[in-house]
Amino acid sequence: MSPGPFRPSAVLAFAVLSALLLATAVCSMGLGAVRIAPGDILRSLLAPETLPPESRVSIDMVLWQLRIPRVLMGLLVGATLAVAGALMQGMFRNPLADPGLIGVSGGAALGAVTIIVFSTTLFAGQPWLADLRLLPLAAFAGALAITLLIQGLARTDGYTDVATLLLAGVAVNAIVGAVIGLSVFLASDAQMRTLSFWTLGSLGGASWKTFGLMAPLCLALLLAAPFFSAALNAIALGEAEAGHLGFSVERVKGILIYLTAAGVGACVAFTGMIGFIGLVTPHLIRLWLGPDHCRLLPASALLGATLLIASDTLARNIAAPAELPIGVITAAFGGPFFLVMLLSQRRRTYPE
Amino acid sequence: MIKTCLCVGALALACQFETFAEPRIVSAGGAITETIFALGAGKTLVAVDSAGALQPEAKGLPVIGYSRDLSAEGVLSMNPSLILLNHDAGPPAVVDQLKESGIPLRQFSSVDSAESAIRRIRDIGEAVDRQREAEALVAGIERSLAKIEKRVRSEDARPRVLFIYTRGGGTMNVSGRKTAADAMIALAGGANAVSGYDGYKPLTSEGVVNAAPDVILIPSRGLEQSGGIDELLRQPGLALTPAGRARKVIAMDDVLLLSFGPRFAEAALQLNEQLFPPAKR
Amino acid sequence: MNAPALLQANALGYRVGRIPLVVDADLGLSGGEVVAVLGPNGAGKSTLLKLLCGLFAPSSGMVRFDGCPLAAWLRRELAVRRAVLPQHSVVPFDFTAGEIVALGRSPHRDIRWQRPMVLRAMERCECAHLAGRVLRTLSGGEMQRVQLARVLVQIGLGEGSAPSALLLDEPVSSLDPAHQHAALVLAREMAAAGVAVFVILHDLNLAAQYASRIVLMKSGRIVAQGLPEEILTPGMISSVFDVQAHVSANPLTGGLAIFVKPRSGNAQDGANHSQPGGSGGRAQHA
Repeated sequence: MSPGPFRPSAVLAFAVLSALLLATAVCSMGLGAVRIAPGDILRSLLAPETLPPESRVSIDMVLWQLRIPRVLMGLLVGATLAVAGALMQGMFRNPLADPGLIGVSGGAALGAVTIIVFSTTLFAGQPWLADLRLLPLAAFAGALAITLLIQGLARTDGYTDVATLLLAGVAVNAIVGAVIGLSVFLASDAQMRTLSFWTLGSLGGASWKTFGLMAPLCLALLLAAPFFSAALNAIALGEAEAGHLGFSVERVKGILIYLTAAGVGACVAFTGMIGFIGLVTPHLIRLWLGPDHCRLLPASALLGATLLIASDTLARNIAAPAELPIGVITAAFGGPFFLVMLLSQRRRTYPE
Repeated sequence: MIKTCLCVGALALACQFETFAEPRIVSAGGAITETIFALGAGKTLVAVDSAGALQPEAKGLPVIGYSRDLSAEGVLSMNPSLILLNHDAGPPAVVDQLKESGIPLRQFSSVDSAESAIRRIRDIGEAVDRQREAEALVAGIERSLAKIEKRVRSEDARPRVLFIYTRGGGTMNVSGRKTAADAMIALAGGANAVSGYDGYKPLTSEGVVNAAPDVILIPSRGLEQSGGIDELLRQPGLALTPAGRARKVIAMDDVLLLSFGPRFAEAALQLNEQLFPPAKR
Repeated sequence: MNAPALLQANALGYRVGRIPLVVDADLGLSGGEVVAVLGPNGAGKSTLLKLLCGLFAPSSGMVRFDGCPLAAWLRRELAVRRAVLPQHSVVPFDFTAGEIVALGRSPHRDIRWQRPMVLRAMERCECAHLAGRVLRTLSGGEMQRVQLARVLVQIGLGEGSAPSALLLDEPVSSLDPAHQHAALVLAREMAAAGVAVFVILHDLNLAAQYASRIVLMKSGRIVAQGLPEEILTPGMISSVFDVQAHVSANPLTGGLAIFVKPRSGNAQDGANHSQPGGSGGRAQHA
């Protein structure tokens, strides 16, 4: 038979990925700065009344108000970032694409900077504007606004040219970078630190409330994505070819951009910028299961969630009782792992 | 054998009791931590933030991270009986989580004057149950402030002070109004040479010449890392100012100078003495 | 032609800015025929194909498929009955050849159930042995055969009840002679099954051998169309392609054999029997 990539069975792959996610999530619930015995976790989940009366910090509180929302948020954010990465790579027909290209991250950063730095410097008269509680709202608004701006620039006669979209993205991101640079110039040391923590991301703000706020937008992306897998497979042949195969490429691109802006915008708004998950996860899945989006999108969601929850668990535990920014973990582990996978893949595709 | 066992058991029991009876305080904020130590309540501290960890007495205590980037579970894992937070502790979501945990929590508002610094010391004293010590500390502060006032009253001129904030490494910022440095300069009887803006701005040669300071005030760490007075005065413009020509540079510990902690009056007095050296009189 | 054509273009025009690329083209394409479009570079062949498949909206005139204007068709319903093979396409990601061919079934929404058809199409395009290979690692000719299999699968190998059309833009440009002929034999077989085939070619002899009708284009206009014997005359060839041409019988097939050489520089070319690549004109040996 012809030599070719091995494609494992989808059922097996999804069973492995689901088991991995479940195991990671359970471990993550069990590990943290507050020691909770596995038995107590089970009791808290199943029969909370049998828990021993606590001294001051209740196991129930740590588990239900801190860890479980955090694990769920990690699941949602990881899945959303990974699926959004896969969608953008498919849409741009480029394995290096990520939501940053359409301005989501730049826009969110702009919103965040406005709140962290400019609100105290420029709008000194309105201290309510300086409230960091407004940060998610501003970041989300920034993400949507910049995405729409870039898409508007790339759109002529109802046709969004991908090359123009990319270039407009580069230009607008450069302008956004300038504004952020200006903010760094104006920022105090404390503001700079807040800003740099934000750019490295954290799930520390997870609560049932934030989870509830972002869930609809993330779920919209996650649930809608599979309906576009056939179109994305066709787009791999080329946009015109996808059109000949009966897909409304323009509509697909438009919807995907809005969905991504809203979903990733919501993630970035509440967790800051978490790099690498969106880029690496779809790659790993492609190396393992192949590029078919019917498998790629759901598998990326599972693996992305697993990776983010695992990274967050490390971030919470390595420096306890302090916490590392999660972006440090995703980049530190994601980068080398990605390189190894890439190199071994190259050896497989192009044997000497 | 049995005796030792009993002893150990009793000791363990005692420890157990102690952990319940003794307050366990987590403090996020350099000045707060310093005040707790100054009030003699250092033993009650179980964890501090990265700024508080700079206190020599805090050596060995667990560090909960930077006060603006706290972790709720990290703080709770110290099993605290009281959480004391700086005005800028965050992120807000984490502060909310800590409030919801039901553990007594107190967040102090920002301090930028002698009055508010004294109020915070009294508040902390109340929170850690060291009211008497707090009053003694405040009395000392008031004595120092009175000394300063007396000296300033006998002087006509108020020297113009330029505060350069640098931690070395090239960036030098100059403090305008509404900064801790501005407040300390005023407290010590000087006048901020810069009044055109609020907050900090990078140093420019023309700005410095315009400000025409009589004295340059700089964090001692920053001065060291900039290479000493000679190197500092090589900064464009600085040599042309009255302070530069007279080589009047005062270096002070920036934490002491800017934190409005328990020793702020001491710092102000120190600065005051250097602004009005006895030789001159 | 009396019967209404499956794909009908009337007074088709297309301009970019003020430059006309296709002018006043009238063309009908019926099931059962292989229509080859010939013409020098820049004659508007590819533009005509893009107008016929609806990728470009015409500046004037209209294209109808099965009686309905293209714009009135639902994309998916059109895709079930009309496949387009572009000149070249680059596929990112490691899709295997088999996966690419299966994509041809996407308008039918039955990718998972049509493995046998995919295999059959690949066998007919002589690329079944490549099914498991990653498309990006194939040679240009192999890729072209895989893409051809994809468009065959898209129209159900012409076995469906409704008549379908196949628009091919230079489908044999990267193929070796054996595969060139095999591909065009396949086009004839499709036509025999009732498919309307529209194919852009550069090789006059291949066109003469396999087309049931020839459309000759120059400067955006259709200058002549008809049976190969009527169109591929020395005079027509030399006026359209700007070469000297000679037409005789192909000793192997009994059909036309066309020989060309550049109009200028006769002595030099005659002396060494070289085959200089002129604009659209190249010495053709059957």
